[in-house]
Amino acid sequence: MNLGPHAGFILGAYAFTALVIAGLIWQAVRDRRAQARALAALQAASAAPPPPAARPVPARSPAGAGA
Amino acid sequence: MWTRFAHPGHFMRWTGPLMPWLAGLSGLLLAVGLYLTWFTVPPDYQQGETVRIMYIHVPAAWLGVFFYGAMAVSAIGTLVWRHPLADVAQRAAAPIGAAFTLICLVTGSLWGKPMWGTYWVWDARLTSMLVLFLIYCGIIALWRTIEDPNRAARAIAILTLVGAVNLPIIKFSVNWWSTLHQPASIMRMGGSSIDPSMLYPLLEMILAFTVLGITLHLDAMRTEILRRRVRTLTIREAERLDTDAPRGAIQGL
Repeated sequence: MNLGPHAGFILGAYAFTALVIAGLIWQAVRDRRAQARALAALQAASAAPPPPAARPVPARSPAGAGA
Repeated sequence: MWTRFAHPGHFMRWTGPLMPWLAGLSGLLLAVGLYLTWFTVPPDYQQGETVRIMYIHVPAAWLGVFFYGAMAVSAIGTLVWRHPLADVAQRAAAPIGAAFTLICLVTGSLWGKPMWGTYWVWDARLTSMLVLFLIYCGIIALWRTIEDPNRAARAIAILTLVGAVNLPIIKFSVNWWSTLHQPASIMRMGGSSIDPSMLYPLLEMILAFTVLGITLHLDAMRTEILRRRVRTLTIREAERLDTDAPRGAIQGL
């Protein structure tokens, strides 16, 4: 197909459009996967028991009380 | 029934199975549209082959305006009913609308140079489309500035409604002012002025872009709902860890 003397403008317009739409799709997929991963990690964390450092420490008896 | 479908949980359920079909339909319609555009449409008697830019420029312009209209309707939903999905829809639409408006501006510029002899002119139609793009950018920037999503939603809903004044200006600018841009040629009194051999491929491309835009929008809405769930769970998890942590550990932070 011969696009004539303005081929650069026509192809440039289509190339730019393809680039922007591809960027939109790529960004949509990347963002969705990131959010799904973050959600899965948080759900796993909230289902697990609290880490040892965060567990309540039994109350200590006052110093010298047991002596 | 609408309220039930618009509940975020239901929305995730009914849109989930729909997404692959919509993505496939978008691809199919785009493939057919591009085939018609490149292999069946004749060159224009005045513009020659450059008329092929019209098949991406017009659908992109339509989507730029369409998404802003959708955002204005969502803004009313946010302000009047405070519906969470209205805010989600508005937020998801802004980057997509901005991207299509940018496509419209750049392809219009690339079409203008060989036809008008210039990439840009401060014409009413071109300027009002540029203003639309700047409003989109302002809305996206404002969303990133305000951290609290509820405050952001209300501020942006007001800004969106104020910006909606630009939509009739875009549509009627070619009638109200003397512009370099051509007047309406598809939706006008007395029917379209475009020959059917060019009109039907153009309508097909408009349909393809619209289905693609809606697919991207629904996908972005689903992602936005996930993002809000992540935010809520992060806050809950932080509160849980704060409550469970020994007193000394908190004081030591």
